Amino acid sequence: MALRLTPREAAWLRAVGLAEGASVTLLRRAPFSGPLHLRIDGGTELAVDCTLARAIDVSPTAPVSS
Amino acid sequence: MTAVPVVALVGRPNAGKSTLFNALTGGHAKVGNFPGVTVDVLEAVVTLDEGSFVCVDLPGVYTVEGESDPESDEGHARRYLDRLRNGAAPTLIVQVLDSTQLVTSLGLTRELRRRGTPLAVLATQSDALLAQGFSLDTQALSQKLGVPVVGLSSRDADLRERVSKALFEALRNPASAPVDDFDARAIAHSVLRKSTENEGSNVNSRHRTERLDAVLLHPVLGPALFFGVMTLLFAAVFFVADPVTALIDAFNRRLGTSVDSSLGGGWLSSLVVDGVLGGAGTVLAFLPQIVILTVVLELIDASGYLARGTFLVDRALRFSGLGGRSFVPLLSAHACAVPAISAARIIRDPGQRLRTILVLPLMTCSARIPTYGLFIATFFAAQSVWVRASLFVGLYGAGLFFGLVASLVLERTVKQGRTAPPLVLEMPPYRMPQASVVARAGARAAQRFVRDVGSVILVAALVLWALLSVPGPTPGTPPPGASPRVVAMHGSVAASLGRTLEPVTAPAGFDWRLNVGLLGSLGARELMVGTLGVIFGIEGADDDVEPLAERIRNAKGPDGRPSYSPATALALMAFFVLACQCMSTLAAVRRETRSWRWPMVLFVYTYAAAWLLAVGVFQVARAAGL
Repeated sequence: MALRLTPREAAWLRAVGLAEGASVTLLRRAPFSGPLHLRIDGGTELAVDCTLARAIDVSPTAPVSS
Repeated sequence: MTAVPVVALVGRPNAGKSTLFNALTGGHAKVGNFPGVTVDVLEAVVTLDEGSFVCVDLPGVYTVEGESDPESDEGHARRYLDRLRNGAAPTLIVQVLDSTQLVTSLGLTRELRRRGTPLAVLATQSDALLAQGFSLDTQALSQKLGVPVVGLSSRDADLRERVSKALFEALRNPASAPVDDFDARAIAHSVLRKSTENEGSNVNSRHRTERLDAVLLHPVLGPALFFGVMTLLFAAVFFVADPVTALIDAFNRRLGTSVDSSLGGGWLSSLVVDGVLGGAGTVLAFLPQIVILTVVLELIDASGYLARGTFLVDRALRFSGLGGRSFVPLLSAHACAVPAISAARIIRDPGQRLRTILVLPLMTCSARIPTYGLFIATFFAAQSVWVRASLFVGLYGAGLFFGLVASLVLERTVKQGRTAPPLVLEMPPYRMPQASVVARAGARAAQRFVRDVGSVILVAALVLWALLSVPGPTPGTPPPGASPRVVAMHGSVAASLGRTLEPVTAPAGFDWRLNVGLLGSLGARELMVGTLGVIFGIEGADDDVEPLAERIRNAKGPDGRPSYSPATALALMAFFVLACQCMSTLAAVRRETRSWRWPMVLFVYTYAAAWLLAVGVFQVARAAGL
């Protein structure tokens, strides 16, 4: 997962849990381009702004039973 | 003589630090000298057979490295840890880590280990982990990290003993040998074991959270339920606040009676009874609402629902130039703006934080409710309960509406930083709030209210008393046959000031008596009803059974015509919606923004807008025949 943000923003995201290599599950999205509800690494759940989410690259993984 | 060791509890928010702190200290904590951001830093001495240590509960943080805003929780925690490192007392950092969020938590472990201070790890939520089908091999984790690790669940009966033993052990043999950097994911994978040990007694909190979120974050049900919860919240305050208005009125009448009966006491007796006791009584009358709203907010926060609320309203708030994190300050401003201004520190962007601070005084705080209640009772008593309830709801809505409008305007005009940064917020699993933690938050809120707001109310009450007692330049026109006390009041400085303002406020339908009330509430809105009680009560001193609403309705001008009408009531309430009638709020804004500029901006813009709105409402209502 590559992040295209300022170093400071990226550091904060990593601290919260959105770091390179994390596995991400999309649980739902709020309507009208609202935030996304994500689960990281099978544990931590985050609400993430949708424009921010667009800056995050993800690649699909095999379905995980979590 | 070595200094008493210090054990600092560090961890991500929602890891269970406060619960653990409570278990260790038995609830005898005092607020440390090191103020936290969203919560106070609590300190307590823990004493057991093995000795004593000072346990400090730091605010939840995601990181202690990198450039953190010094005003944020992270900044405060980092400064505290730096201070400990440079201090003389032996120190132990204890990371409270949620076992169900091992990978993300280990990031913080990595940072804490790098500091070189002795570290120990308490892995909580072991029961929740079991319910998910896993167990944590604490031995293996301890080996990989090079620090002691203890696994816990909040249900453990011997929690306090086990933790204290482990902490004393760690203090005696501090493990601070630097270890190479580690791969959090690899370690987590190697220490989490599949387990079928769950006796079924542990609710799988993950499943519970998923099921609840399916309803509470449902695209349609979610917002509907959220709206319902918020309505219930405010209804709860209203049902407490309504009797408070009656209480203040009754209190003032009783005091008025006692002053009459001790007329011989003169100005000193009046100062004590009207000024001091009147002011203090007002402060006490507001405590129940403050405590109730704080407790309900804490419950919603501790349960995890507040994060869901933030998720739901983020989009709407971004439209107004704010963001999801503004939700909590805006919500708590409905109790009292002063603590809400401090709560705005959770907003990471300076521009968004400033805008939030400048508009949250527009939220309908509990201090406005008695004034609304009085005027709705005075002029709309004949209406059905639905009309009156709608007026209240409309007033709440008006505060929110104008707040969002003001924020939009501020975003366009006051350029301070870029637009709000994107929302990144943790959504914790739903948990049962701990009653003792919530109760303590309520008690602290009451203390802070009395200290920060109560003192200002008292001073304002005394100043107002002086203005109403000291003779002014003109005698005014007291009604014929009025008692000496009424004559004196008509000729007081306050009355003169009220009359001077009449040309300005007449277009809004206010006369000098309402102006005196507004002058009084310049210091604090809480004083409005009491001040009106004094002004109207004194005039009707012979008939003190009549409630204030009745007297206001029957008030007549010098020409004998009724002074007020429903239009006046609407205009006055419109004024109260917008004007920042609270010295405590202005003081809090000054403290937070560290400048005089922003409190002045707040004062000027809210009063100007309030006047415009009041005039507009009065003229329109008049034209409509009210």
